[in-house]
Amino acid sequence: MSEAPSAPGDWQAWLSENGPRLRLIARHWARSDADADDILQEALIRYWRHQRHLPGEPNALVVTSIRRAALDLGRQSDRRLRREQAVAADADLVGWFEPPADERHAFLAKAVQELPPEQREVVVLHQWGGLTFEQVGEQIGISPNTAASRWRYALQNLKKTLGPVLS
Amino acid sequence: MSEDTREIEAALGSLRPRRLPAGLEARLTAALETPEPARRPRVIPFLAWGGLAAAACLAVMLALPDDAVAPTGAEPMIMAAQADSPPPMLRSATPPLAAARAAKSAAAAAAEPELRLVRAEQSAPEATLLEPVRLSDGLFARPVRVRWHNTAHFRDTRSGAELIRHAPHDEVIGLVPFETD
Repeated sequence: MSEAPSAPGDWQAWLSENGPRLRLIARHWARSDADADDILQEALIRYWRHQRHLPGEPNALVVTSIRRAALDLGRQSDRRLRREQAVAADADLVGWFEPPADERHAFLAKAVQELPPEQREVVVLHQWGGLTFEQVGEQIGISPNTAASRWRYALQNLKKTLGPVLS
Repeated sequence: MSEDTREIEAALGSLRPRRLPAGLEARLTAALETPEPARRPRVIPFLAWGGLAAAACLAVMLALPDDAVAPTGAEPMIMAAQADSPPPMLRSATPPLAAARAAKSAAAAAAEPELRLVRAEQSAPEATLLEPVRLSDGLFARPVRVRWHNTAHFRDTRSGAELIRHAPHDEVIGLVPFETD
């Protein structure tokens, strides 16, 4: 992740570069696009105002900030969350990505959606969050080895699902 | 990582997260470029008073050992003989207490607002004639109920804070004789 802008006015370029993948991470932890937008805004402001001087890798700090904002939002509307969980589970993951260029990409997006949630979480954080397995483990409270195992299982599952398409 | 999963990794890499909607990007840019509101130092009043009380207690505690170690035999005589000026032992004990009192009163004076009356208003009275009542002499009269309110605006010259004192009044102020045929 490129350094966050040091002067006002540079945010637009920074957001164009990093916003989509950060929003994807927020979306993974949110129930809806609107919630993901709120989470991303809250997380970026919190990071920019209070956490950018903290020691640590900026990208991991931003992802942590997103996760905390998602947890906060989840706690605020826990009752609603339970009611809407079933709906959220059916959310169309294809909408998280740019419109697929071809059928292969459409299959892939659908296959990512159908991964078990714990594997999908690792895929999102590692692939689009740019986190190492150690950082992924810290984020979701598992060991780096477990994170790496989930990543491998996810790839194998995707391979199994997409094998015919890829070949 | 095996060869066959490399292909999947590459395919995942080609999957691009959706671009931020224009509205969200503008919203985030505006939020991030808005300077953080300046925070005023928050002094919790009871903590300030607690600190003051602690300082006063400390001053008393510093004064007490002097009393304890002072010779006790001559003390009453000195006090009686020099009623106008405190004895040396008391003089040594007094300044911390006096200082604590002075500090407390200074702090209290500093904490107290200096209110200045800025504006006073009185609303137009609203008179209502109530149901007739029979007086002791057998005549009838209607009590008059009057309602109005006074409003005074004060401003603290130190902090600029404004205090509005609103005093509604509702009184039965008199009787209007009730004439019957």
